[in-house]
Amino acid sequence: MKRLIVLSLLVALSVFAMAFKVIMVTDVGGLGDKSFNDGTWEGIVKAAKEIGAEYKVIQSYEQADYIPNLTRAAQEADVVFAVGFMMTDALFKVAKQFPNVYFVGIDIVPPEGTSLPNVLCFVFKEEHAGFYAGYIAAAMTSTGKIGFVGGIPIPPVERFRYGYEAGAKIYSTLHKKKVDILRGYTNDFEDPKKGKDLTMAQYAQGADIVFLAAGACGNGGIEAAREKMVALVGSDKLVDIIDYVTKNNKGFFAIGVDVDQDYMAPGVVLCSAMKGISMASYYGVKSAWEGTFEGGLKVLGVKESGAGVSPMKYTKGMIPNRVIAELEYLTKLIKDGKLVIPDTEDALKAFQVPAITFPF
Amino acid sequence: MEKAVEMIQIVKRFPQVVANDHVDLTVLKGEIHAIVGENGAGKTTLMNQLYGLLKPDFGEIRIFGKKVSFRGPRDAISMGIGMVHQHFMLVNNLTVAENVVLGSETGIGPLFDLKRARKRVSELSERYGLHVDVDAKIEDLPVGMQQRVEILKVLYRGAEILILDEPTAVLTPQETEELFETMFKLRENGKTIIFISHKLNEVMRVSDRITVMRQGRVTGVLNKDETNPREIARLMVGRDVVFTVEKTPAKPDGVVLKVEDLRVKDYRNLEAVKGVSFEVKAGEIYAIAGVAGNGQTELVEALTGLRKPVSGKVYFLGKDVTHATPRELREMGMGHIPEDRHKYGLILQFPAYYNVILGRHYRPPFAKGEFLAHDKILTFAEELFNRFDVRPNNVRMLGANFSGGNQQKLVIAREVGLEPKLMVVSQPTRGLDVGATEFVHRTLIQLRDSGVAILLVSMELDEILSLADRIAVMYNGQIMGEVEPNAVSIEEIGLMMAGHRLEEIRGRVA
Amino acid sequence: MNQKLWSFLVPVLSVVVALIIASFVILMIGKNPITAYAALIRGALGSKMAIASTIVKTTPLILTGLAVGFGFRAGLFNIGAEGQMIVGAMVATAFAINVGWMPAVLAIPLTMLVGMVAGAAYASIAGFLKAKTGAHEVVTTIMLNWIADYLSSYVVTVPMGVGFGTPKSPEIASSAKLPPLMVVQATELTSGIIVAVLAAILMKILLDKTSKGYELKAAGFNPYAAEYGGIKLADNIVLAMAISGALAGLAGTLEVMGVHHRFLGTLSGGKGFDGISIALIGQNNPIGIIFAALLMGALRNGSNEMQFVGVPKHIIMIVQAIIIFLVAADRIVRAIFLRKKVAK
Repeated sequence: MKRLIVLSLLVALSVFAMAFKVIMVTDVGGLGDKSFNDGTWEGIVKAAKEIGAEYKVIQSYEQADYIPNLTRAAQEADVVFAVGFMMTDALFKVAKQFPNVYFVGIDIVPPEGTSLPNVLCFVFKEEHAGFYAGYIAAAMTSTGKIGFVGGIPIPPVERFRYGYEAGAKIYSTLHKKKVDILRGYTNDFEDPKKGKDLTMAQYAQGADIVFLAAGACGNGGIEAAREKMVALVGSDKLVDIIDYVTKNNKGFFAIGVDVDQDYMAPGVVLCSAMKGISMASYYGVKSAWEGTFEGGLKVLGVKESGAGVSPMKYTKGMIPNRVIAELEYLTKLIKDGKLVIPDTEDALKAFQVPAITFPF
Repeated sequence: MEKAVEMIQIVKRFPQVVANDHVDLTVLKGEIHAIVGENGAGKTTLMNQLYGLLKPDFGEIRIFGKKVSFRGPRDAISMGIGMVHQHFMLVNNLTVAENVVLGSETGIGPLFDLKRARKRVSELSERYGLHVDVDAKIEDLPVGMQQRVEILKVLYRGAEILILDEPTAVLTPQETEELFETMFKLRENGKTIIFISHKLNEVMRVSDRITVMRQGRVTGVLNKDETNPREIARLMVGRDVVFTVEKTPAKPDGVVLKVEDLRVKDYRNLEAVKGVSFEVKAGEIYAIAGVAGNGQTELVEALTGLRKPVSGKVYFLGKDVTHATPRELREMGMGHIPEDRHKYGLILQFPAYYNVILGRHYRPPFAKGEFLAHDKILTFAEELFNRFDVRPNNVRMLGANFSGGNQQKLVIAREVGLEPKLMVVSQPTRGLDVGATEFVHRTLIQLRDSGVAILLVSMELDEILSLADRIAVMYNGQIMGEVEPNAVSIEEIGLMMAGHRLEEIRGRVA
Repeated sequence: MNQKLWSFLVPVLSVVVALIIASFVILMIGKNPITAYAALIRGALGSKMAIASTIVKTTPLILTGLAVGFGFRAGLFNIGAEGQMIVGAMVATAFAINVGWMPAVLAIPLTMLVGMVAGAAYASIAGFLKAKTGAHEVVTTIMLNWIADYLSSYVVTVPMGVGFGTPKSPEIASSAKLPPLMVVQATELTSGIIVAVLAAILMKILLDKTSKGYELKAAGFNPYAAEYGGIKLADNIVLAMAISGALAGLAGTLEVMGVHHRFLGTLSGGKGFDGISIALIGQNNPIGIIFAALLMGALRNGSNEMQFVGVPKHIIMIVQAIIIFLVAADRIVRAIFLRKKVAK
C-alpha cells in the first residue's frame, strides 16, 4: 500500500514535471482585444484543455521585449506562440537557439530564405473574409456609402480592405447599385477611443455600415455603431432593432473582424469577417503534442477554413435570403478558384468582376 | 480705555525661522496704532494672524475683550476686522459701488439690490469724508481714490478695526496727506486703525501709539508724544542710524547719457514713455521721481536694451545706442541695478558666485574659451563679498537664501564691479531695511564722486531729495519739469507727480 | 538635511514606498508579492541574459531622459522626445541602409551623426516657433509628435517598406550595426550603452563647465535675468531644443543600430514620454538620469518575468506612477518652500 502511494506520487510528480506547456507571447496589444490575440488564445486554450497541457500568456511592452520574452518562454515551454508580424525577426532569432522547442508564428511570414523545421507560420487570406464583409455591406447599405476603418495599414489589415472593396464592387456590379467606400486608419490597434472617433466621422460623412479591421480599436467602432443605432431606434433590444431595420430599411451597423464579434452588440454588428486564427493555433498545439509538427508556412483561405464570415446569429433575419444564397454560391466559386479575390493593391486596381449568373 | 485688540504672546514659526516670537500687541479703541519694523521683522505675519489668514502656533487673540480663534478672514470680518492690502483687489471695469458691494451682496442671488447698496456706499463715503464718486469706474480713478474704495469696502462690511498695510507706498505726497485726513476722520468716528509702515516721518505724523518690532519680537511700545524718530529707528535696527546722507556738491563733467525724444511702448503695446529728453553728466546723480507706473520702468528698460524704443535717440558716450543689446551696453560700461532684483537682478537658483558674473560670464577672466574659469570666478566673488560686506560670507550659497538687503548688495557689487561709466539705478532701496538703505546710499555717492554718471529712478521722494543733484519728475510718460533739490519745495514736486508742469506751477505761483 | 543626500534619498525612498504600495495591489489580485518581486529581481538582474536585456532597455531611456532633462535645465518642456526619436531613427535608417560600402569606423559615427542631426532639426522647428512667435513648445512638440508618428508609419510602409509591404525597413548595412558587447542566445547587449553614458557625461560637462551651459541654465531658471545679463533668449531656445532633439534622435538611432537593425515604425513603447519621468526622477542631473533610466529599465525588464509567475506587468506601471508621484510631490514641496524663502 505504502509502495503504491509512493509510486503514484512519483507518477504524479513526473507528470507534473513533464507537463506539456504552451506559452503565447503577444505583441504590445495583449489579451482582451476581442479579436486577434483572443482568437489565438481561444485555440490554444481549447487544445491545451483537451490534452491536459499548461498554458500561459506573456504580453510584450515594446519591440525590445520580443527577444527576452520569447527566450524566456522557450526556456520553459514546449510550444511557443509568437503573435503578430512585428515579431518576425525575433521569432526566427530565438527559434534558432531552441531547436527542440516548437514555435508557431501567427500572421508571420518567414523572411525570405529562412526556414526552420521547428517553426510553423500561419497567415490568412484576409481578403476572403473581407469579401464577405464588403458584399454584405454593399447589399445592406441604404445610403450607398460604406466605411472601412483600419488599424495600422499592415498587410493583414490591407488584405481585409482589398477583399472588402472587391466584395462591394462585386455586389454593386451584379446588382447595379452604386456603392462608395470611405477609408480611414487609426494608426493603432489598442485604443478604442480612436476607433470610435473615426467611425463616428465616417457616419457623419454618410456611411451607415463600417467595417472595423483595427484590433481593439474596433471595439470603440462597435460602440459608436451601437450608440448611433440606439439613438435611431430608441432601444437597444435586439427585437426592437430588427423591427426598426426591417420596417424602415435603415440603421447604423458595424462589421467585426478576426473572430465572431456579433455578440458584442447584437443586431448592430451586422457580421464579422473571420479569420481561422483559433483553428490555426489549435492545430499548432495539437500537432506538436501528436508529433506531427512540420515547419513551414501555411496560408489559410476559405478553402482551408482559414477565412469566412460569422454565422450572423442575430442579424440573419435582417439580411435578405437572396443575399445569403448568393454568398453561398460565390463561396463555392472561390473555393473552386473561379473567383479570385485580389490580395494586393495592384490586383485590386486591376480587379474586374467576372460575369456571374446565379443559378436562381 | 477699552482694548480693541489684544494679541498675547503670539508665536508663529515657519520652517527655519520664527516669524513671531512671543509678540504682545495691544491696540486701544479709537486710536491710530502704528506697527513699525524692518522688512522681515514679522509685522505682516502678525497682521495676517489677526486677519485670520494664518493661525498662531501659540498665544491668544482677543477682540474687544472676547477671546477668538479665526478659521479664516471671514471670521475676522464678522468680528469687525478689515484689512486694506498693499495691492488693491478691485475689478477695473466695475463702478465704485459695484466693487464695494462685490462679495457681500444683499438681496437674492445675483439680482442684488444695487440701488440700495449704492445709497449705503455713498452715505459711508460722505460720513467719513472720502468724497468718492460711487458711479465712477475704477479704471478711471487715480491710485489714491482707488485706495479709498478699498477703505470703503472694508467699512461697508462693518469694520471697527482697520488694518492698513503700508498704505502710502503707492501715493503722491498730496494723496498721502489726504489719506491721513481720512484716517483722522475715521478715528473721530470711533474706528480703530492699525497702521503698518516703515516710514518714520509718517508714523510720527499720524499715530497715537507705536509698537516697534525687530526680528520677530517687540522691541518697544511707545507713545508718539514721548518719542522721536531716532529712538524708533534705534529700536528697529538695534543701533544708531545716520539719517542724512553726507555728500559734497557734485562736480559734473561731460555728458555721458543723452536721451532725445524717446518713445517706448509697454507690454500692452500702449505708449508708456511719450517723448522724454534729458542728459546725465559724469559725476552727478540725475534722479527721476514720480509715482510708480508713469513710464519709469519702460524708460529704464529702453535705456538698458531690454525693450525696443519706438522712436527717439539714446546716446551713450556720444555713440548712438538706441538699439544696442544689453551685452553691447554692458561692454561699453553701462551698469544697471534693476528695480526688481528677483525678476531681473538675480538668478535665485544660482549660487552667489555665478550671480556676480552674470553679464560677463562669457569673457575673460571668467571664461577661458568655451569653459568657465571656476577658480577665477570664486576668487572674484570672494573679493566682492569682502568689499561689499555681503553676509553670510559664503559665495556658494544660492541667491534665494540671502536676505533682501544682501541680495541687493550682490547686485550692486556685481554692477559696481563692472567699473561702469554710467550706472542706471532703479528703486535701489525698495524693501530694504534702514541699515541696508544707508549702505546703498553711501555706495551711490561714492560712485558719483569717483566720476560715474548715475541715473536714479525712485518712488521714494526722501531718497531722491537726499541723493539727487538734479531731479526730473515723470508723469504719464512725460517729464513735468527738471529742478535742483535745494531750489524746489516738496509741494512743487508733489504737484508735478500729480501731473502739473513746472512752468504751470511756477507761473501760477508768480 | 543635506541637500545632496536628500536628492539621492527621495527617489530611493520613493521606489521602496512604491513597491510596498504595489504589493498591496498584488495581494488584492490574489498573488504573493514576495514571489512577484523575486521574479522581478530575477528578471531584471538574475542572469546574464536578464542583465543584458535590462541594459538594452536602459540605453534609449538614458538618452530620452537626457533629452527631456536638458530641456528642463534650459527652461523648456520638450514633450517631443518621442517624435524626435522616431525622426532620428527613420533618417538614420535611410542613411544606414546605404552605407554598405563604408567601413564600420566611418559608417557607425556617421549614422549616429545623421540621426542626431535629424532629431535636432526636427526639435528646432519647435525651438524656432517659440523663439520667433512665442508658440509654446509643449503644444508644438506634441503636434510634431503626431506628425512624426504618421509620417513614419507612411515612410515605413511605402517608400521604405520591404517584402509584402510590411511596415518595416530593410536591414541596415552590417557596417552600420553596433557591435554587441555580449551575446547571450538571441539577446545582444548593445554597445549603445557606452554611447549613452558618454552622452550623459558630455551633457554634464556642457552644463557645469562651459559658459554656454551657464547661459542655458540662466535662461532656464530666470529668462528675465538672463536677458538682463546679455543672454540672447531666442538663440538659447533654439540651441537648447536642438541639443535636446539630438539626444532624442540618438536614442532612436541607437535602437536601430544596436537592437532592431531596421526601422520598425512608430511602435517605440513611448520611450520619449518615459524620458519625462526619468528626467524627473533623475532630477535633471545627467548622472541621476543614468540611474533613473537603469531603474526604469530594470523594472520594465523584470516585469516580463513577473508575468511568468502570473502577475500582470501593469503592476510595474503602478509602481512607476507612484514613484513619479512621490518624486514630483517632493519637488512641489521644495518649490513652495523656496518661494516662501524668496518672498521673505
